[in-house]
Amino acid sequence: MTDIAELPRAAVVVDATGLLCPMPIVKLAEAVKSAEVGQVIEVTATDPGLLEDAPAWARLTRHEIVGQYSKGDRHSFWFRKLHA
Amino acid sequence: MAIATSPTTTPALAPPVLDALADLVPRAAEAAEPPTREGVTIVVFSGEFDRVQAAFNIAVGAASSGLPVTMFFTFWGLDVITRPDARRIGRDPLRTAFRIMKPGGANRLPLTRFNFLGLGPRLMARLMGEFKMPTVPEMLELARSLDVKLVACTITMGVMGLTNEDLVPVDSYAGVATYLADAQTRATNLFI
Repeated sequence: MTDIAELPRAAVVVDATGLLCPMPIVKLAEAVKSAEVGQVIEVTATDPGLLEDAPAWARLTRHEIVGQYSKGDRHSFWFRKLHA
Repeated sequence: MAIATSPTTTPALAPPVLDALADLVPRAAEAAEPPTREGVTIVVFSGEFDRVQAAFNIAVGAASSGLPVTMFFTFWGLDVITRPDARRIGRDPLRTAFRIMKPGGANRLPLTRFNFLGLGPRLMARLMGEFKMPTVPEMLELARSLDVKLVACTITMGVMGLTNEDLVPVDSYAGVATYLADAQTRATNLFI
Protein backbone atom coordinates (compact mmCIF):
# COMPACT_ATOMS: atom_id res chain seq x y z
CA MET A 1 0.00 0.00 0.00
CA THR A 2 1.24 3.42 -0.90
CA ASP A 3 1.68 6.00 1.85
CA ILE A 4 -1.19 8.45 1.60
CA ALA A 5 1.21 11.42 1.55
CA GLU A 6 2.89 10.04 -1.60
CA LEU A 7 -0.27 9.48 -3.56
CA PRO A 8 -0.54 11.35 -6.83
CA ARG A 9 -3.12 14.08 -7.36
CA ALA A 10 -5.97 12.81 -9.47
CA ALA A 11 -7.43 14.87 -12.29
CA VAL A 12 -10.61 12.78 -12.19
CA VAL A 13 -12.18 11.18 -9.12
CA VAL A 14 -14.64 8.29 -9.43
CA ASP A 15 -16.83 7.39 -6.47
CA ALA A 16 -17.95 3.79 -6.93
CA THR A 17 -18.69 3.17 -3.26
CA GLY A 18 -21.75 1.00 -2.69
CA LEU A 19 -21.57 -0.35 -6.25
CA LEU A 20 -20.94 -4.00 -7.05
CA CYS A 21 -19.15 -5.82 -9.84
CA PRO A 22 -19.05 -4.92 -12.70
CA MET A 23 -20.10 -1.33 -11.98
CA PRO A 24 -16.87 -0.01 -10.39
CA ILE A 25 -14.97 -1.16 -13.49
CA VAL A 26 -17.63 0.32 -15.79
CA LYS A 27 -17.37 3.70 -14.00
CA LEU A 28 -13.58 3.57 -14.00
CA ALA A 29 -13.47 2.73 -17.71
CA GLU A 30 -15.85 5.60 -18.47
CA ALA A 31 -13.66 8.06 -16.55
CA VAL A 32 -10.42 6.82 -18.11
CA LYS A 33 -11.96 7.01 -21.57
CA SER A 34 -12.91 10.67 -21.18
CA ALA A 35 -9.59 11.65 -19.48
CA GLU A 36 -6.50 12.91 -21.32
CA VAL A 37 -3.47 10.66 -21.85
CA GLY A 38 -1.11 11.16 -18.88
CA GLN A 39 -3.85 12.17 -16.46
CA VAL A 40 -4.38 10.35 -13.18
CA ILE A 41 -7.80 8.89 -12.38
CA GLU A 42 -8.74 7.92 -8.84
CA VAL A 43 -11.41 5.31 -8.14
CA THR A 44 -12.82 4.37 -4.73
CA ALA A 45 -15.08 1.38 -4.12
CA THR A 46 -16.37 -0.60 -1.17
CA ASP A 47 -16.55 -3.81 -3.22
CA PRO A 48 -13.50 -5.79 -1.98
CA GLY A 49 -13.34 -7.39 -5.44
CA LEU A 50 -11.73 -4.18 -6.65
CA LEU A 51 -8.46 -5.17 -4.92
CA GLU A 52 -8.00 -7.87 -7.57
CA ASP A 53 -10.09 -6.33 -10.34
CA ALA A 54 -8.23 -3.02 -10.50
CA PRO A 55 -4.81 -4.62 -11.25
CA ALA A 56 -6.50 -7.07 -13.66
CA TRP A 57 -8.18 -4.19 -15.48
CA ALA A 58 -4.86 -2.34 -15.68
CA ARG A 59 -3.22 -5.42 -17.26
CA LEU A 60 -6.08 -5.83 -19.73
CA THR A 61 -6.18 -2.20 -20.79
CA ARG A 62 -2.42 -1.48 -20.44
CA HIS A 63 -2.88 1.51 -18.17
CA GLU A 64 -0.69 1.97 -15.09
CA ILE A 65 -1.59 1.80 -11.41
CA VAL A 66 0.34 4.55 -9.65
CA GLY A 67 -1.11 4.23 -6.17
CA GLN A 68 -3.37 2.23 -3.88
CA TYR A 69 -4.82 3.04 -0.49
CA SER A 70 -7.29 1.14 1.68
CA LYS A 71 -8.95 2.33 4.84
CA GLY A 72 -11.62 0.17 6.46
CA ASP A 73 -13.84 -1.11 3.67
CA ARG A 74 -12.93 1.73 1.28
CA HIS A 75 -10.40 0.80 -1.38
CA SER A 76 -8.87 3.39 -3.70
CA PHE A 77 -6.67 3.04 -6.77
CA TRP A 78 -4.91 5.68 -8.83
CA PHE A 79 -4.48 4.95 -12.52
CA ARG A 80 -2.39 6.82 -15.06
CA LYS A 81 -3.90 6.81 -18.53
CA LEU A 82 -1.06 5.63 -20.79
CA HIS A 83 -2.74 5.66 -24.19
CA ALA A 84 -5.88 6.78 -25.95
CA MET B 1 52.14 -39.83 -45.03
CA ALA B 2 49.80 -37.02 -45.10
CA ILE B 3 46.41 -37.61 -46.48
CA ALA B 4 45.42 -34.83 -48.63
CA THR B 5 42.13 -33.53 -47.48
CA SER B 6 40.30 -30.98 -49.32
CA PRO B 7 38.90 -28.29 -47.09
CA THR B 8 35.23 -28.88 -46.59
CA THR B 9 33.37 -26.11 -48.22
CA THR B 10 29.73 -25.61 -48.45
CA PRO B 11 28.79 -25.45 -52.04
CA ALA B 12 27.75 -21.93 -52.77
CA LEU B 13 24.04 -21.58 -53.29
CA ALA B 14 22.94 -19.89 -56.38
CA PRO B 15 21.62 -16.39 -55.66
CA PRO B 16 18.04 -17.20 -56.64
CA VAL B 17 17.96 -19.98 -54.02
CA LEU B 18 19.29 -17.60 -51.36
CA ASP B 19 16.67 -15.07 -52.24
CA ALA B 20 13.98 -17.69 -51.94
CA LEU B 21 15.33 -18.75 -48.53
CA ALA B 22 15.47 -15.17 -47.30
CA ASP B 23 11.85 -14.87 -48.29
CA LEU B 24 10.94 -18.07 -46.47
CA VAL B 25 12.52 -17.24 -43.11
CA PRO B 26 10.31 -14.33 -42.08
CA ARG B 27 7.30 -16.13 -43.48
CA ALA B 28 8.04 -19.18 -41.32
CA ALA B 29 8.31 -16.89 -38.29
CA GLU B 30 4.97 -15.34 -39.11
CA ALA B 31 3.39 -18.75 -39.51
CA ALA B 32 4.66 -19.83 -36.06
CA GLU B 33 3.03 -16.79 -34.46
CA PRO B 34 -0.70 -17.46 -34.09
CA PRO B 35 -2.97 -14.54 -34.92
CA THR B 36 -3.82 -12.47 -31.87
CA ARG B 37 -7.25 -13.31 -30.56
CA GLU B 38 -8.90 -10.71 -28.42
CA GLY B 39 -12.37 -10.25 -27.06
CA VAL B 40 -15.37 -12.29 -26.07
CA THR B 41 -18.38 -13.97 -27.61
CA ILE B 42 -21.25 -15.20 -25.47
CA VAL B 43 -24.00 -17.46 -26.73
CA VAL B 44 -26.93 -16.54 -24.50
CA PHE B 45 -28.97 -19.73 -24.74
CA SER B 46 -30.63 -19.52 -21.32
CA GLY B 47 -33.49 -17.24 -20.45
CA GLU B 48 -33.14 -17.31 -16.68
CA PHE B 49 -32.39 -14.15 -14.89
CA ASP B 50 -29.40 -15.47 -12.88
CA ARG B 51 -27.60 -16.93 -15.90
CA VAL B 52 -28.37 -13.90 -18.03
CA GLN B 53 -27.10 -11.59 -15.29
CA ALA B 54 -23.80 -13.52 -15.31
CA ALA B 55 -23.63 -13.23 -19.11
CA PHE B 56 -24.14 -9.46 -18.96
CA ASN B 57 -21.58 -9.08 -16.16
CA ILE B 58 -18.93 -10.66 -18.37
CA ALA B 59 -20.03 -8.75 -21.46
CA VAL B 60 -20.08 -5.38 -19.71
CA GLY B 61 -16.81 -6.08 -17.86
CA ALA B 62 -15.07 -7.05 -21.11
CA ALA B 63 -16.45 -4.08 -23.02
CA SER B 64 -15.27 -1.82 -20.19
CA SER B 65 -11.81 -3.32 -20.62
CA GLY B 66 -11.75 -2.27 -24.25
CA LEU B 67 -12.43 -5.74 -25.67
CA PRO B 68 -14.82 -6.45 -28.54
CA VAL B 69 -17.89 -8.37 -27.34
CA THR B 70 -20.64 -10.20 -29.21
CA MET B 71 -23.74 -11.59 -27.49
CA PHE B 72 -25.62 -14.09 -29.61
CA PHE B 73 -29.17 -14.64 -28.31
CA THR B 74 -30.75 -17.97 -29.18
CA PHE B 75 -33.52 -20.24 -27.83
CA TRP B 76 -34.57 -19.10 -24.33
CA GLY B 77 -32.05 -16.31 -24.54
CA LEU B 78 -34.41 -14.61 -27.00
CA ASP B 79 -36.64 -13.83 -24.00
CA VAL B 80 -33.99 -11.33 -22.93
CA ILE B 81 -34.35 -9.26 -26.09
CA THR B 82 -38.09 -9.75 -26.58
CA ARG B 83 -40.02 -6.52 -26.08
CA PRO B 84 -42.24 -6.88 -22.99
CA ASP B 85 -45.14 -5.54 -25.10
CA ALA B 86 -44.50 -7.81 -28.11
CA ARG B 87 -47.73 -9.07 -29.68
CA ARG B 88 -48.76 -12.58 -28.68
CA ILE B 89 -51.90 -13.21 -30.67
CA GLY B 90 -52.40 -13.40 -34.41
CA ARG B 91 -49.78 -15.92 -35.43
CA ASP B 92 -50.64 -19.51 -36.08
CA PRO B 93 -52.39 -21.16 -33.08
CA LEU B 94 -49.33 -23.06 -31.84
CA ARG B 95 -47.11 -19.98 -31.77
CA THR B 96 -49.84 -17.85 -30.24
CA ALA B 97 -50.15 -20.41 -27.44
CA PHE B 98 -46.38 -20.43 -27.09
CA ARG B 99 -46.16 -16.64 -26.82
CA ILE B 100 -48.98 -16.56 -24.25
CA MET B 101 -47.37 -19.29 -22.16
CA LYS B 102 -43.92 -17.77 -22.46
CA PRO B 103 -44.21 -14.07 -23.24
CA GLY B 104 -40.53 -13.17 -22.72
CA GLY B 105 -39.09 -9.77 -21.86
CA ALA B 106 -35.94 -8.87 -19.92
CA ASN B 107 -38.01 -7.70 -16.95
CA ARG B 108 -39.78 -11.00 -16.36
CA LEU B 109 -37.15 -13.73 -16.50
CA PRO B 110 -37.44 -16.65 -14.05
CA LEU B 111 -34.62 -18.00 -11.87
CA THR B 112 -32.90 -21.38 -12.53
CA ARG B 113 -33.49 -22.27 -8.87
CA PHE B 114 -35.54 -20.72 -6.13
CA ASN B 115 -38.20 -19.58 -8.58
CA PHE B 116 -41.33 -20.39 -6.52
CA LEU B 117 -43.78 -19.28 -9.20
CA GLY B 118 -42.13 -15.91 -9.60
CA LEU B 119 -41.65 -15.08 -5.92
CA GLY B 120 -37.94 -15.97 -6.03
CA PRO B 121 -37.08 -13.44 -8.77
CA ARG B 122 -38.97 -10.68 -6.94
CA LEU B 123 -37.09 -11.40 -3.73
CA MET B 124 -33.82 -11.56 -5.65
CA ALA B 125 -34.61 -8.28 -7.44
CA ARG B 126 -35.19 -6.65 -4.08
CA LEU B 127 -31.91 -7.98 -2.67
CA MET B 128 -30.05 -6.89 -5.79
CA GLY B 129 -31.69 -3.49 -5.56
CA GLU B 130 -30.33 -3.12 -2.05
CA PHE B 131 -26.87 -3.84 -3.42
CA LYS B 132 -27.49 -1.40 -6.30
CA MET B 133 -26.98 -4.20 -8.82
CA PRO B 134 -28.35 -3.22 -12.23
CA THR B 135 -31.42 -5.10 -13.43
CA VAL B 136 -31.36 -7.14 -16.66
CA PRO B 137 -33.05 -4.35 -18.71
CA GLU B 138 -30.47 -1.89 -17.32
CA MET B 139 -27.63 -4.28 -18.16
CA LEU B 140 -28.97 -4.62 -21.68
CA GLU B 141 -28.92 -0.82 -22.08
CA LEU B 142 -25.47 -0.63 -20.53
CA ALA B 143 -24.17 -3.33 -22.89
CA ARG B 144 -25.60 -1.45 -25.86
CA SER B 145 -24.02 1.83 -24.74
CA LEU B 146 -20.65 0.06 -24.46
CA ASP B 147 -20.92 -1.16 -28.08
CA VAL B 148 -21.53 -4.80 -27.22
CA LYS B 149 -22.73 -6.35 -30.49
CA LEU B 150 -26.19 -7.88 -30.00
CA VAL B 151 -27.20 -10.61 -32.43
CA ALA B 152 -30.58 -12.34 -32.58
CA CYS B 153 -30.66 -15.92 -33.91
CA THR B 154 -33.08 -15.97 -36.85
CA ILE B 155 -33.80 -19.69 -36.84
CA THR B 156 -35.01 -19.80 -33.23
CA MET B 157 -36.91 -16.54 -33.80
CA GLY B 158 -38.80 -18.37 -36.54
CA VAL B 159 -39.48 -21.40 -34.37
CA MET B 160 -40.84 -19.25 -31.56
CA GLY B 161 -42.84 -17.04 -33.86
CA LEU B 162 -40.83 -13.88 -33.19
CA THR B 163 -40.34 -11.19 -35.82
CA ASN B 164 -37.82 -8.33 -35.80
CA GLU B 165 -40.56 -6.04 -34.50
CA ASP B 166 -41.06 -8.26 -31.43
CA LEU B 167 -37.46 -7.68 -30.34
CA VAL B 168 -35.71 -4.68 -28.81
CA PRO B 169 -33.25 -3.11 -31.29
CA VAL B 170 -30.27 -5.38 -31.97
CA ASP B 171 -27.25 -5.02 -34.24
CA SER B 172 -28.10 -7.95 -36.48
CA TYR B 173 -30.42 -10.86 -37.12
CA ALA B 174 -28.23 -13.75 -38.15
CA GLY B 175 -27.15 -17.37 -37.87
CA VAL B 176 -24.28 -19.62 -36.90
CA ALA B 177 -21.81 -18.34 -39.51
CA THR B 178 -22.03 -14.82 -38.08
CA TYR B 179 -21.41 -16.20 -34.61
CA LEU B 180 -18.46 -18.32 -35.76
CA ALA B 181 -16.90 -15.49 -37.74
CA ASP B 182 -16.69 -13.50 -34.51
CA ALA B 183 -15.79 -16.49 -32.31
CA GLN B 184 -12.76 -17.31 -34.51
CA THR B 185 -11.17 -13.95 -33.75
CA ARG B 186 -11.87 -13.87 -29.99
CA ALA B 187 -9.95 -15.34 -27.06
CA THR B 188 -12.99 -16.16 -24.92
CA ASN B 189 -16.10 -17.88 -26.26
CA LEU B 190 -18.82 -18.72 -23.77
CA PHE B 191 -22.11 -20.60 -23.90
CA ILE B 192 -24.48 -19.62 -21.13
